[in-house]
Amino acid sequence: MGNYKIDASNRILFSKDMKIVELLDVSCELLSVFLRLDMQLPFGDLSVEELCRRYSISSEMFLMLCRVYAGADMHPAVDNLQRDDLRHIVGYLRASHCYYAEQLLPSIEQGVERVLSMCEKRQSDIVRKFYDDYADEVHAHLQYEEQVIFPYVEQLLLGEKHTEGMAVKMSSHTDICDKVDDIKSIIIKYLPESCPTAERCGVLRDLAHLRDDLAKHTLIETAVLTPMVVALENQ
Amino acid sequence: MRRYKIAIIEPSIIIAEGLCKILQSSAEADVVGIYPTLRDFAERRVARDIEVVIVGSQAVRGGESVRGSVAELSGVTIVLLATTMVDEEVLRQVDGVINIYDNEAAMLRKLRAAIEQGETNPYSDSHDLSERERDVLILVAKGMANKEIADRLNISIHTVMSHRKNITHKTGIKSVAGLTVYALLNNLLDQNDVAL
Repeated sequence: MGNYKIDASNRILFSKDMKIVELLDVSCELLSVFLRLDMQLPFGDLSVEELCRRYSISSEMFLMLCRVYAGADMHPAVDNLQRDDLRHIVGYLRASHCYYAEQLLPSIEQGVERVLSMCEKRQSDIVRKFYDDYADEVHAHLQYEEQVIFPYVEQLLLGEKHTEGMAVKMSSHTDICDKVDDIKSIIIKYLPESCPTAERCGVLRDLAHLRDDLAKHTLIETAVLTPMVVALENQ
Repeated sequence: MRRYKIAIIEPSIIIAEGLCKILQSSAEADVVGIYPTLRDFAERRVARDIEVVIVGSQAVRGGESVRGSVAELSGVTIVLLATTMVDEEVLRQVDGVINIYDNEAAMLRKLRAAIEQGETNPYSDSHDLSERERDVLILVAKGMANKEIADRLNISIHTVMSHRKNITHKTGIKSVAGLTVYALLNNLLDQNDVAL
């Protein structure tokens, strides 16, 4: 495997000629991109360009998402993206929300519960409250985007004009990454010995995954969605 | 010889006065106040330069956090006077223990040892923070702003911020809520002190 083009610093260049299998070979994190764009297996021997054409998605946007999710691009450019891509980006972000709310967070909650079941009630109450408060914050954050930001973008796409701009809406956008690190530190460093290591490791894996995914999700919101919407407002 | 300024927190007046008399008769101790409860101590205490707090085990029966109650006294040595069975969690918060049946010499010896190693509490789980950082952490967890903490501890806002940076660096915890969890898990304060 691996007929990839490589750039000056030895990083693989994602291109539209690449086969989908080659792409997944680079990082299996990319599976979530397919899932969230609702692209169905099997992919056979399709290239990126062919698959994107099948789903009427621009390969520029698809490759941008892949670069971000493979950790290969921390400064995604929006120059090559079109107005029509916005609709897919919103769909993509919505699907990520579903994944957090319906799969990842419930899995973390169960894991935290298993870890805490082995320590004193006083200690488990303290940590459980912290986690519950955090989960509430995340749900409120996701809800704000679902109810305020995404509908706003969709209305703009339909040609409606609005007074309150995207910049104002994004200023109420809170950070939900820091506390994941706090929970991680508490589980690694400060829970008593009675909490089983295997259970702790399970939650820590989920938390690391949440942290990474949220960071990329936030990057797409701030570095792709926001500038594109602002450009649309100014048209 | 230097005389340590000592406060006694003990609900039994017989025990408190007895201890006070023994301490005053030595050349090393100066008892500056006697209080029946931790709450009383927190509210009525006048002397700011207390170096040692001797707290009777009856005064912490309800599971109050000893460290939390004396958080505003930086570098204070906490010695437990064991008059009853003592909970292990209380032991973790103190720098030394004297027993009600100790004779005068043993009591003073233990007191001296506790003062000497006050910096490194053998029972403490939170020795990754310095004494001053712990003081700042407790006030942060109580919901105070940097300015209030600076006033309370008599240091500059800049110093408070630098302590906070170190606390976050050492613990790996950034949010106030997360730091509160840290303080509670390490018995630096108790649930009732937390503004939630």
